[in-house]
Amino acid sequence: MTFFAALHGGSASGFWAGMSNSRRKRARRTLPANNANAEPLVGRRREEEYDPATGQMLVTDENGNMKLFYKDEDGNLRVKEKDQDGNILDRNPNPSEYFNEVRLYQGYSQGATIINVSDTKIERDVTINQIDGRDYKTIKSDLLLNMPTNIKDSTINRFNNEISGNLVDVLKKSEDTSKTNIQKEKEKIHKDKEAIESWSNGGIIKKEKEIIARGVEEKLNTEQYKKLIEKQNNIDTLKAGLLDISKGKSLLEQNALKDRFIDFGTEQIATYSKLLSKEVTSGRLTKEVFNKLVNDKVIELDKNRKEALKNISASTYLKTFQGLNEKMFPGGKDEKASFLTPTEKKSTSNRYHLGELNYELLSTKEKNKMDAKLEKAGLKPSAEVLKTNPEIKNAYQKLIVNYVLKEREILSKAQESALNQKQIDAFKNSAIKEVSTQVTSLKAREKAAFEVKISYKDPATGKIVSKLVDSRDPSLNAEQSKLAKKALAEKEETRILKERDKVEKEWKANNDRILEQKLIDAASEARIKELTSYSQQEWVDAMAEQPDPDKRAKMLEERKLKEHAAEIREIQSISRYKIVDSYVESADTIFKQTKDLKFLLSLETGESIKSETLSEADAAYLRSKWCVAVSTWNMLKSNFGDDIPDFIPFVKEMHSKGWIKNSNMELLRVDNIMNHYAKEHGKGFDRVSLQGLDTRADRYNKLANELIEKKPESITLRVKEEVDESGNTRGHTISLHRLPNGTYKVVDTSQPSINGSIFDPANVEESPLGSDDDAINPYYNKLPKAYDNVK
Amino acid sequence: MLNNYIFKISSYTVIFSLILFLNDCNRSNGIKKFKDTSELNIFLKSKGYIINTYGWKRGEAIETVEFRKSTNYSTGDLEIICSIPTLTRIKFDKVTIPNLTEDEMETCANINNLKFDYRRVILSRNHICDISEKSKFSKLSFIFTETNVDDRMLECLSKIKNLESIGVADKSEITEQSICSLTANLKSITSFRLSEVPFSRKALDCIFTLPNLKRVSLQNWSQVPEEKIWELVHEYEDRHGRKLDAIIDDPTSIDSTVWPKNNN
Repeated sequence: MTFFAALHGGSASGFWAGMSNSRRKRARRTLPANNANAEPLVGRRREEEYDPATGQMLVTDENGNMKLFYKDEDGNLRVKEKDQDGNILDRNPNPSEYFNEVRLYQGYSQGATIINVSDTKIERDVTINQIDGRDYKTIKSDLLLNMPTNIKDSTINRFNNEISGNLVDVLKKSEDTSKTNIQKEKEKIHKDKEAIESWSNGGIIKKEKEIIARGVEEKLNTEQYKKLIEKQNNIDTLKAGLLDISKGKSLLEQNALKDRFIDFGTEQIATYSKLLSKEVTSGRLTKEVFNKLVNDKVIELDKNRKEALKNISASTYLKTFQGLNEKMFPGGKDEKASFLTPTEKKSTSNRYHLGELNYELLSTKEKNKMDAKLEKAGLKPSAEVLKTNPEIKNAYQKLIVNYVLKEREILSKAQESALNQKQIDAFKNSAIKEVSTQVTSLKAREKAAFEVKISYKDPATGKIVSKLVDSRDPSLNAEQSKLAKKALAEKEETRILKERDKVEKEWKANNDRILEQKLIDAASEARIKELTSYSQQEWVDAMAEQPDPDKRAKMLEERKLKEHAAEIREIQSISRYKIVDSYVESADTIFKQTKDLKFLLSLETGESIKSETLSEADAAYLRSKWCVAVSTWNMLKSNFGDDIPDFIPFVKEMHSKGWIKNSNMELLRVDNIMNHYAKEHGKGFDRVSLQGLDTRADRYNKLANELIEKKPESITLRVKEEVDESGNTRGHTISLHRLPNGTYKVVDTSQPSINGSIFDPANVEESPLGSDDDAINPYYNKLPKAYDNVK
Repeated sequence: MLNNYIFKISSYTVIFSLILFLNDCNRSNGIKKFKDTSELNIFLKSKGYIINTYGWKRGEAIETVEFRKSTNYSTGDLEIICSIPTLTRIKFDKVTIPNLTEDEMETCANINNLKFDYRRVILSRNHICDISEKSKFSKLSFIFTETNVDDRMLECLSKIKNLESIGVADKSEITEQSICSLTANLKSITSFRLSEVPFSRKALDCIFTLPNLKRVSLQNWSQVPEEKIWELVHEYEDRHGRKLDAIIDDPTSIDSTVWPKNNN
């Protein structure tokens, strides 16, 4: 018998004979040790291994001692273990003693893995809550530890029966979903690839640059972009045509040459060399001679030019200046007006100047600057000429004014050009980015979906070769293709298992919580029953005091209730914590899982209902729309309990009454909604503004004082409100719920760091919501606007 | 319980007077001496400083000191404030930041785990850069909310060896490029807040190169959707094998309720 080898202190390998490796791996668990006794459990760990072939489970505790669980012929669970003297005991396991092991065995034998109550969960949940001096955690753990074993066992057994098989369904569903998702992803890749390939007609990964270029080209093929390019060309042409200083300089040169009857400029050299080159082509002239002749002409021209420029006549200057002044602004003063500064406009607007900027009105600084520029360019006549020839002086001064204005025009054109170019670049870059992202993402997704590593024997060298291949690659040979397909299947299975593990973990955590609540309920009930029951002796003793049996029973009950009032109140207050905790939890999960919410969402988005669970994006969307609704519902529920429908029916009712706006899911008129439900209880809506107070601290102080004074069961708090760019006031609403110790628990659908935190009105500075430190409170700089409560 | 409480107060007092005493010996002019936290509180309160956001309560340590409009600062005050051994945060809210003395800056820049919290203030470049230069090995944090903090100030901050956390929220004058140059220089940052910015994915990539991040707050990025930022957070978590405390979403909705007449 294999298990004996294991039990007798040998290695566990015998026990595992015949079991496949993968199965063994998946059955191994680490779990907190038995928690049925009062010993501290922290730090103790044990491992169990289950063999489906034999139906045996071997548990090794932290000291290395082993226990073997198995089913006898009648299907009863048995445990074999060694006692202190080393003798093997074979007996029925007591469910209290083997709290976890029994449930584990049941789970494994049903092909599922099962949950365990972890004490760490209790620790995590309860930190600073206090009830009448004793903390919530102590009351809870005392109740759990002192609960009668039979009640504990039956609660656990009932729960295990309720949930047995659930996990199998949940895991099966997870597998199906994963498979569908893998298939869908493949189809999506195929579709995206087709779309991207339509830009290119080529293979996607190989010709990435080309594909991106083509994709970008396609994206840029829009009217908007074309207009930008056209505008840029126009600006550039205009800019090139402006008569700048260098153009003025060449005009002066031309005039100087012409006036000296030297009819030979740059253009003429071009014509001359063209003519000569024909002679070269026809063979009448050698290349060397051609070069020499052209070169001589250039030197001659240069010499003439220098000569001419050395001694420019007054008349040439005058002619050039007049020509430039005439051509520079053909539209005259109207054209110039747009380049005047506001000060210049003002000073030229009188009757004398008639809007014309003359030399006197130009600032000295600008005059001098332009004068220096023209001098440097050779456009300034000598001082002698300017002195003696008033006509030239006048024309030169006009030229200065015109060039100042022309330079302003050039600058404005350059700025316009740069701005437009910036828009073009932005347009182009965003197209490149968009297309590259699409291609990169597709590449990554393709890789994830189809790329695998295969190892095979290279027939040429006989060596084992490993390489990454696309499992769809048609160039793979039959063996490689088979290997790739197998590898892909394994890869997909790993993905499915990973997802399945995640689902399993969630399921376990969820059931942990449910079982813990069930145990607390059962323990509370048992303890209150125990506290309020009286003994036979007490019954007899009370006979003299009250002969009527009915009245006597009532008297004894009341006496017991009075005697244990403090403890009973303590136990009962746990339920309030539990209810409030459920709001905290629902704030996070309420939007994730129901078909009904999807239905409501579909009313707005016009989408059909696709699946039962909502995607993370849908959940985030609903969260953003519905903080007011959830907070109001939480507050009503907190005040009126079962008289308020659950969240989904509540939202549906709001919807049918027209209190939710279809177009944006906005909850209309909280006052109407609250009055509707509060009326039955003779109460109504009350909104208290905090706006009159200047600082955040003042507002939270006021809130705290009113919570201490009025002790409302629950309030909603408009924690911030701002005006957005379209002029709407948008904000966020949370709810606060009173706990038996006078503090308030904060429920927030948006910020996990605040959801579940405690707001203590007697100690605002220590409460996260009251803090103005950004490391503690996401609303550290936000002013609360108002709070609503039931009056 | 009560004993413990008394012990706590007296130990604060002892440490506190010891530090003040040491400071007295080291400086010729010396700073004002206080008998205990209560006396110090009376002094600071009389000058209009706000302590611990909601005012000081007997038995509490002084952790936060705040400058408000009503604060009547005189030269040297910050030397006293920054000598408080339990101080963790100095806050300036809607005030003109005074010109600080060398000694004041020296003292404040070398407190371990001190946070400078600026809100709705106009900062001068010198103020930020001087503090940065004076800091030696202490861990410092800076948070700017609705300020004119700009690239050049961030450049100064990047010289602080042990910059612990940085936050820029709501309005500012920083550009996307400065984020990458900041993160390239500072590996010590554990907490990064950057909200309401028109920056691109590139800035996020730079933030997530910080190796020691513990918490990030990246709300309202007009150019990058929240899901994308969450993706980057998860990638960071996978890469480093640990959880990141992240604040990304900022859902808001409309409340069009008619206000009761008597309350509006």
